Amino acid sequence: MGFKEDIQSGKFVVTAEVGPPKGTDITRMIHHIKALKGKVAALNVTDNQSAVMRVCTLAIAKVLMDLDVEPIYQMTCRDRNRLGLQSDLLGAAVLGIKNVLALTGDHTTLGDHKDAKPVFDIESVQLLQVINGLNEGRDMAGLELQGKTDFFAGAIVTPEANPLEPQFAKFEKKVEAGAKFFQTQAVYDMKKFHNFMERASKYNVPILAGVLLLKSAGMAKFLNKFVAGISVPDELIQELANAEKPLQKGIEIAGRQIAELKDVCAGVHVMAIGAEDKVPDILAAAGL
Amino acid sequence: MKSGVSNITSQSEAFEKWMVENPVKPPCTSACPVNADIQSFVSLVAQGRFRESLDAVRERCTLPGSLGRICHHPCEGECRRNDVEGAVNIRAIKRFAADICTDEPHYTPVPKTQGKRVAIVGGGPAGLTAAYDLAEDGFDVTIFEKNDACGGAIYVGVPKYRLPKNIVAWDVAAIASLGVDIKTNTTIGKDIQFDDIAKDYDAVLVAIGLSVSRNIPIPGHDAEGVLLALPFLKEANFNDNATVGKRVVVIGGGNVAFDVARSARRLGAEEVNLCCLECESEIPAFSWELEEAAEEGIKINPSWGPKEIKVKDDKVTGIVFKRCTRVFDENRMFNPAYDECELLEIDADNVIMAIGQGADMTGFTGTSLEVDGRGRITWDPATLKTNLPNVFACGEVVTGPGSAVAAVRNAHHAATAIERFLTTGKAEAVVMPEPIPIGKLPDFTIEAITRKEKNLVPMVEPAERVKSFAEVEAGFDIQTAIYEAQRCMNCSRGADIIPEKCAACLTCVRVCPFGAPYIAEARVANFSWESCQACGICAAECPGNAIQVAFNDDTKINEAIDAGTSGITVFGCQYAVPTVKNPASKATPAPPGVNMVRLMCTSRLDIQHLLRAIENGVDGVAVLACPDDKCRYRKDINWAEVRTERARRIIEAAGIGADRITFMGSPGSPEAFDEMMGEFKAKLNELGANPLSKVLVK
Amino acid sequence: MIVAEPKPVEEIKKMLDGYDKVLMVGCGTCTTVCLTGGEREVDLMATAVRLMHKVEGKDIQIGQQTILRQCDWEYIDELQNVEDYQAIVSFACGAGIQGLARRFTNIPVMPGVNTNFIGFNEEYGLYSEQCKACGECILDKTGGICPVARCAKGLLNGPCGGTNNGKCEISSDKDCAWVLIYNQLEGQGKLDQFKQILAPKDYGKAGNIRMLDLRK
Repeated sequence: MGFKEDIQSGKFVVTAEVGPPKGTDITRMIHHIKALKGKVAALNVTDNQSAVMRVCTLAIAKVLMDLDVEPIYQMTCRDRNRLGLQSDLLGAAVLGIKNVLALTGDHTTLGDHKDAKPVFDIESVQLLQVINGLNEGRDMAGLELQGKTDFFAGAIVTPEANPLEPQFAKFEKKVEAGAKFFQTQAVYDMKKFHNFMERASKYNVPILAGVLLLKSAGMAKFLNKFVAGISVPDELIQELANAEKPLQKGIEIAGRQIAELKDVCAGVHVMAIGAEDKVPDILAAAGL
Repeated sequence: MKSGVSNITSQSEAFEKWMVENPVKPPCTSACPVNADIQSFVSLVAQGRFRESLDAVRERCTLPGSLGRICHHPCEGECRRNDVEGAVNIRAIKRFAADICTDEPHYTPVPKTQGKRVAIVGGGPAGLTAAYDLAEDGFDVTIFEKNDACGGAIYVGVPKYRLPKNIVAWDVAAIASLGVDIKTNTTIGKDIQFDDIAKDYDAVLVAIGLSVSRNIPIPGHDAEGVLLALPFLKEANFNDNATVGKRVVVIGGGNVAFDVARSARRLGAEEVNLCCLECESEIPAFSWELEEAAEEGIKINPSWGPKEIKVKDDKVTGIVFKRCTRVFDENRMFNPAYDECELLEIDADNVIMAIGQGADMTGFTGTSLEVDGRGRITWDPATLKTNLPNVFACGEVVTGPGSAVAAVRNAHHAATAIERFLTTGKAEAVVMPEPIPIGKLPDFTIEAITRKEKNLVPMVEPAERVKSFAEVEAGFDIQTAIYEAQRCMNCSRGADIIPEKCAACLTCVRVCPFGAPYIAEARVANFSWESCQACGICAAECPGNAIQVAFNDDTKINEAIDAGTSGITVFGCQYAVPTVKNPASKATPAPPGVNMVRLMCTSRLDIQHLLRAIENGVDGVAVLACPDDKCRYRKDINWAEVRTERARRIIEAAGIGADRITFMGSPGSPEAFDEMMGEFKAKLNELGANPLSKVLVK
Repeated sequence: MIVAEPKPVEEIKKMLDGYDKVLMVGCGTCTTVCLTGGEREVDLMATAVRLMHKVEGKDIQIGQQTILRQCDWEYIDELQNVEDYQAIVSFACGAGIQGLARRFTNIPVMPGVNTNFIGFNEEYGLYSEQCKACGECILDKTGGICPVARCAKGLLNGPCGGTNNGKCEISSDKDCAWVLIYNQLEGQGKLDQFKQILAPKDYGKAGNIRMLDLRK
């Protein structure tokens, strides 16, 4: 059983993610991967996350597979044009990667190479269409492939986006373009997420709610201020502020959220950002 | 011309050039009978350049001290600030310019380069004005005046409480100082014969005014106690022991009647009634005369015509009036009608006739000067000539009664005619150029103009006024005069487009706070002079250098900048540093080593101006901010500061040091200015000399 | 209109190292309108460069001429005595600068401005990019608001996850074009347009050395 099968079977699925390091030393990352192995259905491998240059996704996805962990290959449109994207996808297929998460990608000016030329030759919706095309045996130019791919393509959505309507319309486009599952930006406001799910569920695409580990009240405030589509409610910030051990409290909160989400959506995507080894604790706290 | 040297030879030529260069004039100048360059002299007062202001006043308004008091100032009625919050008090500013300079020396005589002699008969406002113009033009001018001093009606007739006699004397002395020979106590026909004058002089101007008061042939008009206006006023002016009865009735509704009534009050009359034919709204005297007379307890009785004077023992005891039902007929001709059934009787010790004046032609009877059956000189209003080839006439004697300033206008006209006659030998019609007044301020411009409340002229309390002949009106003090002068909007001195350079980019349209620029049909910018306030923001921002500001063009500004080659050059708006240290000084005394460049508004400041000063080698350049509460212009952006900043960046890049150019606050006083300059100098000393200093160039 | 910004005077000065007879040429159209390359700016730059030379004790002769457009041969040919100069600084957009470089091949032509974008004059001195000249206009589908030019990523199918309260992820003072498009289409009752997936653009059109021949 793999990620695709789990999700299609209706099982409550848990995914987490690892960030490739900046540099060739991957020991810490391997430590994280090992901590998560067996606890999650699959691990996302981010793609120059936050527009910060790191080890390429493809290589790390291969490392995961070598460790017998199923990767979800994140692919952004920022750094490669349509030739680069397609050839990497073919490469991924050759390596045996099954899951692809199509993203547009953060803008270069947010990252560590602000003077880079951003590519954005195509974007997430179009990338989903491209993946479908490759699955059907043809590239963007309409040329036939020698051997087609069989990707399980997913996309992301931000349920707490403000305003939500244009975001939701894009979600619909992604479904239409062939997204088979969604992972979401971190959700904290359960009421909003319920509303979102009410509307989204009619599209019959599994949605894994994003759960972001809050390590302190300061971090929560930072997220509110600087990260689009995340709004940590004041009560949670207060709870963290009052806690003696904020990280422990964060783990408890994340666990609580996952427990709540169990009956709402198809699974959760846990983002621990550098504290991936705490993910098992979170899952334990959630009773999983 | 006294100020400035030019190749213009005559007063009239200078005036004509000024008019023709731009016939659109501010409404004050257009309304002014002599078309005085009002905004120039007002602006000079605003800058603290009082003596220069006085000289500017005198160019057209030849009797500044006197007219600064008695002119009926039609300029103020037309001032466009009336639509904002009230007219600029122009007359009071003019008076101030004169009063502040009374201790200043007058002029040095103008060389009599023309080699021609002009005789002027009559030293009233008309004669004096013509003398001024002709003397300035280099003619040898002699005035024959029958009284003991010049001034005519304003000397003999106008009461001291309105116009002190020393002021008239001062005005006359200024004209005399140009080299005009004034022969007083000289009566034509008695002391000197007219025909001799006409023969001896190259040209003669008859400007004898109207010096004989008329009486009304009603019963009792020759009784004791019936007085005539002018002799009465003369008595009041010059006889310290003059008296009048307790009850006085004045007949007449003109300004002279009010002068008489108010003088009577001051001579001790307790009950003064002024009766005139005209109904209240038609009374010809100025409205303020009515108000001030009423304040002084004078009863004004409109619509009454004199019927008979009651006499007992040959002395006046009262007067009976009949109701006047109409003064003018349907053809606007003087043709009063009465209702004899309605009568008014007033007891009186004196009845004073102030119904008008006639000319005193006694000295001219039997001379070659042609006088018509009604005693009027044969005269052509276009050439101002009489029947004699070299004899001209002007003023009330030929135009009929009018204001002093109207006589001054006519005298300028006459002086022009004489100057042309004497230089060309021909007496031709002289056309005085007429200005075109700029239109009204549009509503949106009114909205944008900074409000500055009007200052009224301080008046002595009525109860105090009637006790003596002391002057009733006080002048402005220095601060008030400067403030009031700064209210002037400099109408019509605004921006103009150079169409071939205009890119129709809309920059001017966007930066103008007053909505003056617009894109015309030919797709070039144009300016509504009605709206333009001449601040110059547009000219300094126009990317195509396609805008000129008439009053503040680059040539003039650059000349001023180039006057500074060392020390400090300071840019400020024309009002940035009030110069009150030396009130009558000709120019603002800047501290030593400081070259002042005055702009209409610092918004006119161009980055090029700053760099030019630096390139000239000055050690430092300071830009003075305008104090917001005094600034006439609304400024959402502090343009001068923005441009100063860019100039600083450029000279920093050039290695000259940004700090050589600085934007300063408003000094507020000359003392504060000196102090700011001192501090700046100290800072510049630390920086050392400007590397571009010409002193250092080997 | 083409929008450009003034180059720092230091940069211009450096380009002119070694020349003592220089012609500065203003352009009377776009760069005049955007306050960057008209007679005023040319004047200012000439003064600034002259000052900088003087400080170094050097003399430089700077000629100044402004023509209506530097992207037309006929106007370029109005320039006078160009051969008297050792170098030219053009204050036109890139097209105009190259116009001079093509006409006066013996004389080095330097850029006096940085050409930025095709923009709209929002107000005095404020310009916004509106068009990338992609050669494939889709404004009919996007409510008249161009996502190619006005979305930081040039997205064609809706906002990215970085959109925040109607602002762009790259800067909170820039509008998210896709929120603008959504609101515009919603106001027009045309949200169905928003739901159509737009295909990737044909960058083959924008990327080659473009010529346009309307005579064909």
